[in-house]
Order: sequence, then structure tokens, then C-alpha cells
Amino acid sequence: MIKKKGRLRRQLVVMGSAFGSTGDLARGLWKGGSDRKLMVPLAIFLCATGLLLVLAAGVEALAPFIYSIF
Amino acid sequence: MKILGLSCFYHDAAAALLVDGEPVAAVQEERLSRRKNDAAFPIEAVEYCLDVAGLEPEELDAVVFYERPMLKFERVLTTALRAFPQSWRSFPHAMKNMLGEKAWVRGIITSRLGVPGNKILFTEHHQSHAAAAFLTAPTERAAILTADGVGEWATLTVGTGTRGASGTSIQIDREIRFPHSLGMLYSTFTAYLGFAVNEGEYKVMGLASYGEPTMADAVRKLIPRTADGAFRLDLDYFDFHTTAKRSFSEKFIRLFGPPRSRYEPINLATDEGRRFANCAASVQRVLEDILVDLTRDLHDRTGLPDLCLGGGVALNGVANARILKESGFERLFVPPAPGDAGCALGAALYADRIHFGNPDRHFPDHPFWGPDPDYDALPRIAAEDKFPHEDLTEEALIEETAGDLQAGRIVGWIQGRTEFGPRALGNRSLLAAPHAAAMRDRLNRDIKYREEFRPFAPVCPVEEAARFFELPPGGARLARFMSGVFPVRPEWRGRLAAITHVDGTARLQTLERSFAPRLYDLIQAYGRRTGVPVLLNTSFNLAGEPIVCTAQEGYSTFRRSGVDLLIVGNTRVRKRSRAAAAAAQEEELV
Amino acid sequence: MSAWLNPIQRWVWSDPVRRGYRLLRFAEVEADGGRDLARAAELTPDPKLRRLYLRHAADEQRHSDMFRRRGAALLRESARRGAGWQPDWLAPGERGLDDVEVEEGRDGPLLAFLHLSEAAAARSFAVYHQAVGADAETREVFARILKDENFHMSYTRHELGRVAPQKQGWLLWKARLGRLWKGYLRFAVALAGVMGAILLTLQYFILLPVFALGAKRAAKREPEGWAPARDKRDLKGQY
Repeated sequence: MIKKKGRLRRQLVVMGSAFGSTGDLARGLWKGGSDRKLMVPLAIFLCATGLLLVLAAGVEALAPFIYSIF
Repeated sequence: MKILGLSCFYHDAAAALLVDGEPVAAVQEERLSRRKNDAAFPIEAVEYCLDVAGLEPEELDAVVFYERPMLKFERVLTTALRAFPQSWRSFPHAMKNMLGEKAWVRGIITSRLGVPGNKILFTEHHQSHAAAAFLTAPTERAAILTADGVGEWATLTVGTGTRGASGTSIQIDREIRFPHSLGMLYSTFTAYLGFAVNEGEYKVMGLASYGEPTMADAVRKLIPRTADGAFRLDLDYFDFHTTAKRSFSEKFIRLFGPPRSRYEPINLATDEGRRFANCAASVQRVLEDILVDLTRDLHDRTGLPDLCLGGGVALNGVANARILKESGFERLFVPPAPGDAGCALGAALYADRIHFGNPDRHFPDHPFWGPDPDYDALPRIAAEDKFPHEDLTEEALIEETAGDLQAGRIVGWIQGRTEFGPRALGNRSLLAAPHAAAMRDRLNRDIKYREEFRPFAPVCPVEEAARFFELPPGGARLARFMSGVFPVRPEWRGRLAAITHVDGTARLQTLERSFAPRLYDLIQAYGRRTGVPVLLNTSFNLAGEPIVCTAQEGYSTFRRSGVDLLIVGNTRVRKRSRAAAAAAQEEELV
Repeated sequence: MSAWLNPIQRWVWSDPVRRGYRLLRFAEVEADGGRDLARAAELTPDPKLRRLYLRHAADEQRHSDMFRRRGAALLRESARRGAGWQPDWLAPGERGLDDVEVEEGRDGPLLAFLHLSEAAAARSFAVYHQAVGADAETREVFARILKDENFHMSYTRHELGRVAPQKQGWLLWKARLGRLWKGYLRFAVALAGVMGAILLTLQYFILLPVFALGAKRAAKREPEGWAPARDKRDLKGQY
């Protein structure tokens, strides 16, 4: 039996693991030659934006307010 | 070891479970959620797989996702950068899509299943396809070709696989990378012809038989060959890399004419209808030519007799038959789920045999890894709804059903575990007599509600198949999972009109008794009555719905369509007489 | 609501091509609704509800066929092609914007929801019936469907009273609140979507140009055709 978690709790778990995933991407790009190395700052910045998207998806009802804070 | 494979977030989500190297369960999410091509996280499919094995998520040794999300993200970002500034419309959509969900798969799996991050593994998309094709095939050494729209970067890969006592390996040697993609070429024409991408590709293949490849040279302009024998797409004709809204460009339209509106029926009697059919025939011809070239080269380079084919392109049965005939390979293996759903199984197998180095095991040569029906449900429902029903002995069921089929009745047939993959291969099928074109028209009109140019497939005992169909060497094997299209022998085309396509071919399924014993016996009984042991076999579903899974879904489909009788296990339910149906309707109104 | 929508609806329905595409869209929505009801029939343990849901599903399928036939006929009759601008939110059709939640053992909430959405659909179709003006055939399609909607409204209300006699009023209120809440959620998600798109578009034009230059140069250096496969990597990585 799979234990069901609430949407917000699930999204917080996702956000918690996002740092490791971003690290995976940055490491991969860094090892991928000079063309890819250049993309590392952009990729990290976009992943940070992604955290905002994940948070907004977790609290649908408050999503517009979360965006407006930023 | 207990290994769960997952595929999701693009189309056709699925889960598959291996316990000690043996497959235990595999099912597409759509069969359980009842949303066609459901791409969402396959929570119901996972629950089913774990239930079959009696496992809790925390008992899993590994959860393997079928692609590498961060490599995919890199491809999406690079594509946007390369197409700057034309990609400005697609960029927000692509980023929201990736960063809102798809990039964070590890976290999503942890949040949904409670499995810690260190147990979550990632194969590459085409590694999963290759494993699904090779590790499920009855061969110890084979060349492997995988082709689809796109995974991470690769769109087509070639390599070899070895398995046996000395260990298992899958060596992918080289690949063609996005945006150059056979799958994207075909999908672009699917969209141009007004069909849904990732679903309507069958329709393009069916429509192709009605046309002539008069525009093949124009299609070749879109996909010139490179000096090393590969191909590239001329991106001036495509828009899939710059916008999410349309895959073909204005230049494409100037070359092929205005696209078809999805709402306008294709009328093959008009010039416009014939133009669309010719377009379909042309892209089909070019796809086949390229695949034959690539596989011939692969055969020359490897010298191996067997080829395993994976990826969505392997669903093209016409191309598969040409590969078998012209590439030099003696046997061609296409798994029952070559598309992304099958990657769930492929990813789990790859992790088990290669990552963990577990010993190779024989993989059962059938697709029946989904749920069993509840055999008690149908008699109960039928009694509650006052539908005539009966429980029959095995012998009576076979003989009476053969009689019903001979009398022109359409039978909904549910037996055993549901198929893994897009095709009904005998356990969730609609069966009918294959003789009259009127039967094909009735099925299209009253049950499947689909275009008149769509053909129906025959199923025939393997030992009888060569009598009715022109099978090349290896053809019977390719037809095991309905993966090849072969000519119907000219002398039988008149008596097999319901399953013979306009070009004289059919997408045959050959049947061994051990594969589906009851269906096999039914076809033989039908053959004794009619002299033709062949049945029309199409998936048990209505337009826009996934194939039925449970007895209840079979019953609901039976009630809502022109299916004459429904058989689940040994229970048979018939439609009511007109008078009884009218009386029942009156009663409902009270 | 209907009163102020009337002039807009008249404009929406005035053009035969727009009318045709709109009816074809309705056909899809009705077919989807039919599938939801078939699902409800498959899951309910109540034999009477199963029979009614199946009948309702058949009605929806019939409506879908009627809309599709009429929509296709309108497009055939018109020389002009192309849908033009389609303000879908103005005429969503039956349950076009509502998510039906079909779950096992929850017939009461489903009936309450269906009752309200059938009532809403009947009101909308009555407006469209008026708005199509002189197009007698389309009027006839709406008139026939309206009759069915009345049956659907009455059976869902009657059955709600049967399966949840004590809680029917509460379930109806809950369904009303649920519709309001879902309406707000749709609005919030759509607004957030727009805000997210603006944010990302700004990033695109501010951040990407420099990186795009590098990516375009790298793309030019990439050879055509076959590429060697990536080195095998550990399955723990996501890249």
C-alpha cells in the first residue's frame, strides 16, 4: 500500500531533492567540454526559477501571489 | 532483487516490476486510470505491480526511471538557445514543462513512493528501448536498432547485444541526434495530415496504402542523407524546434500544400483526399527506404543473423516487413511494447542484468503482464441488469462462440491478464468473422467509430499462416506480436476481405497454442466450421478510450456499442432482444 | 450572466464557420462527458445507477454525433476555411470546464455534481438555442439536446435523494462550493501561468542572448550524421 501524501508535502520533498538534481546537471555540463561549461550559470539560474514553478504548483490557489512576490 | 521500472511524463506512462530477474507485472497507466495515453506519474500501475508481488515500496531494491531528466533538460535548453530568437514563444512553455515537473523526477519518485533518492536509478532513453527489445527476445546475440522521436539527445541508435552464461551487455556504438529524427519526420506528417501526434501514426500508415508515393522526392528534400550513410532534417521545413504549436513550417506548406484540418474527413474520391493519401504514401516510402538502408548497413557491419528493433518507429509494421525482407537479417524481433511504455520494462531489465550484473534469465515470450479480470463480476452485473447470460463448459464455450462468429456476431473477448503494449493480442480483443468487407465497415461504423481507411488485423494459428499469407522467412516470428504487415495470398483476398487492406496486405498475428490456448482453440473450431482458421482481431475499446482491462469495462463497452456478445472467462452475455431492451428502458425511467 | 452574454453569444454564433468549429468542439466535450459517465457506470456498486449512467453516457455520445454531423455540415456548406479566433471560454458546452471526479463508492457527490453541471449546461444550451438565430437545423440540434438535459437533471436529483436522503442538501451545497473553488483554482492557475510565462520570457530576452551566441557557434562545429554513442555512465546520475 502506497502512503498518500498531500500535494504541498510532495512538492516540498521535490524541492528538497532539486538541489542534488541541479548539482547533477551542473557536474554533467562541466565535464561536457567548453561549449557546455559555458551553460552552467544559465542552467543553475533556470533551475532556481524551477523551484519557484514547483512551489507554485504545490499551492495552486496561492500561485499568483507567489509569483507576485518575485 | 526487486526492481521497479518507470516511464512517464511524455506519453504512455507505465510501470514494470522484476523480482529476482523475473518479470512479475507490467502495465500502462492508461489501462487503470482510463485516460488514453495517460502520461502522468503511473501511481496506479505501480500500486498494481507491488500488489501482484505483495511488496511495499520500501522493500524495493531499486526504482529505475527510463531516461535521464537532466540530460533531457540540457537538450531542451540547447535547442532553445540554438533557435534564438525564433524560440521565444516555445521557451516559456518548454521551461514550465521541464522545470515545473519533468526535471525533478528523483524528487517526484521519492515524494510519491517514499523510496529514498539513493535507490533511484536512471537509464538513458535509448538504452531502455534497446534493453526492452533485446533482453525480452529469444536470442543470445543480436544487432540492435532503436528509433523514435527523441529521448534525451539520441533519436536513433545502433549497436549489439550479448547475453548468456558469460554475462549480459548492450553496446550502443553510434547514434543520430536531435533534431535529426525519423520519428519527428513521421510525426510532422501525422500532424500535417490532421491526426494527433503520438497516436495517429497508425492512421498515416493505413492511409499510405490508398496513395502513391508521388511526393517521395519532395519528402527526401526534408531529410537529405549524409555522407556517412545517416540522415539529417532540413530544419527550414520544420517548426518543432521553435514552437510548441506546430511542427511544420510555411516552407513545408509551400512544398506539400495546405494541411488537413482535423475536423475534415478524408474523402479519397476527391483530389484533396488523394493528395493527403499520396503524402502519407510518400513519407512512408522514405521512412522505409532509410530504415532498410540503415539496417542493411548494420547487418553488413555486425554479420549477425538477428536484429532487435525498439522505439516507437518499430510500431510501423510495413517498414518492419521490408526490413525483414531486404536488410539481410534472418530474424527480426520487435517486443509487444516497443514504445515508451515498454521502456519501463527495459529500464528495469537493464538495471538488473547490466548495472547489478545479475545472471541472464529466459524472458517469457508473451505480453500478458497486466491485471486479470474479476471473473465473478460479469455474471453478477448481467443478472442485475437482466441480460441473458450463462456459464459454459470449456468445450461449449469454444463451439458456441465459433458458431456465433460464423453467424456474423461480434464478440468481446476477455481472458487472463491484460496485454502490456498498444496491441490486443488475444486477451482483450474484439473478434469477428474475417470474410466480408461489410464486417469491416460495421466495425468501423458501429463500434470503433473510426475512419473507413483503417484496416483490421487477422489472427491465425502459426502453422496455418502460410496458407493464407505470404510470409518471408522469419515472418511468422515477426507476426507473433502483430509487428509486421504481409501480403494476403491473392486467392484468399476475396474470402478475407474484412482483414485485407486496399493494397492486399494484412497486419497478421500468428498464434501458438501455448500463447493463448483458448483463443487458439476457438480459431481452430471456427476453421473446422468454415474451412478458414482465421479471425479478425481488433482491440477491445471504443474510439478515444484505452483498451478495456476489467470485466466491468468490457461490459460497459459491450453496452455502449454494437458488440453482440461478451465473454469473460467462461461467462457469456448476449444483447437483449429489442422488446426486452425497450421494457428495461421503461423500467429505468420509473 | 446569460443576459449579458446574449449579445456576445449572438456574435459568437453569427458566423457559420465559427459555428461549425464550435459545434465540433462541443462534440468532443460531449464525447468526453460520455466517457466519464461510462467510467461512473463501471465503478458504481448500485445497479440502478449503473443503468442510468450507461443511458446517460449513450445520450452524451448521441449528442456528440449530432454536434459533429451538424458542425461538419456547416463547414462543408461554407466556402471559407480556418477556425479563426475561437473564444472557447465563452461557450464551453456541457462540463467543458469542469473536471468530473469519478471515484469508486462516491455516487452521492457525483450525482450532486452532475445535477448542477446538467443544470448549467441546460441554461447554456438554451442561450445558444436562441443565439443561433435563423439557423433552423442548429436550433433543432440544441432543442433535442435540451430535452435530454432535462431528463438528466431530473434523474440525478431524484437519485441523489435516493442514495443520500439525509445528506442531499449538504451534498448539493458542497458541489456548488466545489464548482466555485474549482473556478477560482482555474483562474489562479491560469493567472499564475501567465505570470510564469512573462517571467520566463523576460529571462529569455535578458539572459539567453549571450549563451545563444555560444550555442549557435557550437552547433556549427557539430558534424552531420552519425555521432559516437555517449560513454556508459553510472545509473545513479541524472545527466
